Amino acid sequence: MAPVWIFWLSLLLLVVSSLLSLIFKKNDRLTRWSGTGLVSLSSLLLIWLAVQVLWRLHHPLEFEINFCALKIPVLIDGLSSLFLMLLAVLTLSSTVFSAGFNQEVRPVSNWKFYLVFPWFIAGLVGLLTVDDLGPGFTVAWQIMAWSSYLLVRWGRPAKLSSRPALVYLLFMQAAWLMVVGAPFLVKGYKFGEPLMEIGQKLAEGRQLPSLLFFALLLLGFGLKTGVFPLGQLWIPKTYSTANPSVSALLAGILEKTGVFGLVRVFFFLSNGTSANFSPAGWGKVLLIAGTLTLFIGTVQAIKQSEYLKLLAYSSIGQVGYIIFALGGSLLAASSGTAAGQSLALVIFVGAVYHSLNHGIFKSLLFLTGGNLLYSTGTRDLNRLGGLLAVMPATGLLVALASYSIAGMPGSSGFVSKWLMISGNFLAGRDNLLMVVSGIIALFTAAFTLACYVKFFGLAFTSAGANWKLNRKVREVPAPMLGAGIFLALVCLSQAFLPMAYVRLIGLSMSRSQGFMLADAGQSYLSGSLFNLKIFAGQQLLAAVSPLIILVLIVALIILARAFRQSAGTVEVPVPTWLCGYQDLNRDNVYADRNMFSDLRKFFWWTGGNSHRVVDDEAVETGQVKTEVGS
Amino acid sequence: MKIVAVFINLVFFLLLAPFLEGVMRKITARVQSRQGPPLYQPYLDLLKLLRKENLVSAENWAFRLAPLLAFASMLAAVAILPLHGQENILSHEADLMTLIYLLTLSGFSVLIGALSSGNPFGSVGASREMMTIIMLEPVLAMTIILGAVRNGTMSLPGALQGVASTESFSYFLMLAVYLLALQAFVSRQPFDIPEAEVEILEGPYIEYSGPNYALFRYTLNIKRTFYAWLLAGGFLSFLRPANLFLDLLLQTALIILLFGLISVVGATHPRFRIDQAIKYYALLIVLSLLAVGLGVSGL
Repeated sequence: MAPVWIFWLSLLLLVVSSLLSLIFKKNDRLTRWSGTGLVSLSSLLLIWLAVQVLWRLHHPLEFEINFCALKIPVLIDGLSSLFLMLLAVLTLSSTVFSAGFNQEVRPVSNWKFYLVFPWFIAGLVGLLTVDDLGPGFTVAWQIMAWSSYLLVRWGRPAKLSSRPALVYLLFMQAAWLMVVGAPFLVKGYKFGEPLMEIGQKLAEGRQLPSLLFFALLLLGFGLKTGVFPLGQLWIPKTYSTANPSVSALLAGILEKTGVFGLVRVFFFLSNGTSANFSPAGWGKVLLIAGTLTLFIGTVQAIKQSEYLKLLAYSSIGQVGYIIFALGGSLLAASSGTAAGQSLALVIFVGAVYHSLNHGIFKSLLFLTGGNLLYSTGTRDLNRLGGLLAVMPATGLLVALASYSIAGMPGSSGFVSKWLMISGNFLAGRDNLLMVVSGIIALFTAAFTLACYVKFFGLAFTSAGANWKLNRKVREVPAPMLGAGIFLALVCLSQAFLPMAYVRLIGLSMSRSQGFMLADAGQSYLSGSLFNLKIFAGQQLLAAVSPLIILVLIVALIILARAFRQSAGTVEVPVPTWLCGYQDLNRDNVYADRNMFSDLRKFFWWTGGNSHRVVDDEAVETGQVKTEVGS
Repeated sequence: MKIVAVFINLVFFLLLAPFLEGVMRKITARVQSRQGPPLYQPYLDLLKLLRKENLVSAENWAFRLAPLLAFASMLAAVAILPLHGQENILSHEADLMTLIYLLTLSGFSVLIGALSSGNPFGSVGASREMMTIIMLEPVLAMTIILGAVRNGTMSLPGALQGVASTESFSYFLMLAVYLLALQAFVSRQPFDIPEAEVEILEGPYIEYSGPNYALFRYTLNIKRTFYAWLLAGGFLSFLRPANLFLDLLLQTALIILLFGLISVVGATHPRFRIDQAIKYYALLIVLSLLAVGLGVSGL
């Protein structure tokens, strides 16, 4: 089948699945099955499409949609394919997850969810494939914005969700205005032109309008990605309000379409507009914005007691890493030297790699957050604890995702952070800004670790849930676990086959036309399938090898175990020891509000200090009378 | 030889670490006008702990895995070090970022162990330990990164060599910061806030006993040795004799000297509160940022 037809077929399946939910309205099970089946099929088709573009076509897929008077240019090149693949993988896991989740937890009837959900996916597909900033972009954006608005609105009871959803919609519309408005600053712009032509006109135009053009696009896409302080305005509330399977997509891919936009603008569109685009200047802007975002987002995440909000703030922080790397890459490229160009490519690959990684592990975290919500009914970490005994599989998935996002050795997050941060230090060794932001990025990882120690530690280990919850906690049903396991496997492959992903990113860039770093010369990056190395000539500059480190740690664990057993002692179960005064009970377990309290005080100025967690059941039982503000 | 170097690393740290605790206990005792235990006492303690019952207060895998992971990741961290300034077989697989993250991983395992015990004292300790990691990791990172930026390489032998470039002012500032942070790195008084025996009963380790506790004790000793080694292997690595044996002897002497200093400071200073310590660490972060700034500008 021709790739164009695959594209249309996958969109058609999404529309059909939406219509079917109207027809099957009365039959809950049928709605769920048809929705899950067709959306999954559609995402498999999208993967096939991406594979075709990357490995078969050898050139980008370009065509034009003529609809009434509208002409919409469509471009599916390597970059689009890469993000389409991410979208497809995440959609697949999210729909399968929803099949289990929506069975039990439903603030809204199922047919409504399945009516809107496919449109949300279709909107995202549109955003990744249209090649203009005019009608095509508008159609895709509005479908995405309104469908996700409804999904956020339906994520919780109306009292709690109507305001966050409205705020979300307003910010999406503001971002849309900025992105669609920006090209009108370019002299001779005709509404609906492909990006390439806008780029050419930019090159001919004057400096001030192009400066404003890039600034508006940065604001527009930055709002969507969550750059500080714009992200804080809508992300935390939105992600914690939506159904977790939707939040998984919001954080996993919707945010990344912003990154996709930024890459398109700053690494493709800007190429060739040399006089009117200063890579050094914009590199600095992105680097500073990214560093602020990653630091503040992550510190705010530590303060949250509501775990979905913790995940939301932390995704602001993680996106900060991507923006930081895009800025570092532009700065390194602007140095003009061959080494600078090569290292710029290394940092850029790191940014894209981190987008893929974050898409996967953050989705996994939101899905497992959904597992928690499903089983415990609370969003409050203060009321959880000791769940590892009753939800072992979910616990293991959370442990893996937390380990990865904290960038511990032998994880996917480690590889991408290594690419971004090492590249940044090597390229910026005499650039104070790059070194300092690299250091901030490096130690923000410790804050990320603290967030997830808190999340995993207080929900799964520790103690408390058996006293503080008034229901019996069980492990979640198979579809929900299956979706998580699928993502976990992808996450593991990202950790242990770094070279495969680096090659994939390289391939997708070579299938995209007009990439700024396309002629970056001989790459510094080399390695076998299992490791990555940065060489300058013969000299090794940096190396990462997750598999070897894992093997080393496992070997040493075996040694430690032999040491522990060397005298042949036996394990004796004992109760927790509280100085002999009393036993562990609900009055003396350690609650989340106490964790890191002095650090929270020390960093109060970073904001995000609210502590109040409201559960859905509080609304149902009438404990919350008025609408809850911040 | 490159494989042997890894084993030399492991053996060096495994053998030396408990002895240094003995040195510390002896000196502390002398400062307090006591006799103190013999220098080899910590080895005996480890053996004794290994033969005790292994008390388990929490039925989950995290509790059992934590001591193993803490010990293994700390050993992995010292395995990749260029002890004699030379590359070993792991140098092409790991660089300074791996080192920093392995050290963090070891600290993280202690936390997970503490939290999984379910004991509120352990959780208080874990919370304090995490805050300490957050505030101290940047200081360690910047110490090594300054070297990396000077030499333009992230690989450990190159970066540690860069740490020792004495012709710059930033070297002396970073050395001062390192010495000011040392007491906290090795978590001795006045910075033993996470453990704080008389206050939260050894904090993270409260539920651990017998062989599990032996692993944690050993990990802590190796961690302390590593931070003291950084003076010999990093800041003073220009002193290094070409002969491996002499080199190790010199490094051991320097480490013991440093432990003497640590013990005296530890025995004469009362513990800080965590909020006071955070402010102190913040000051250290600012100073080390200044040192990095100077280093990048070539000063």
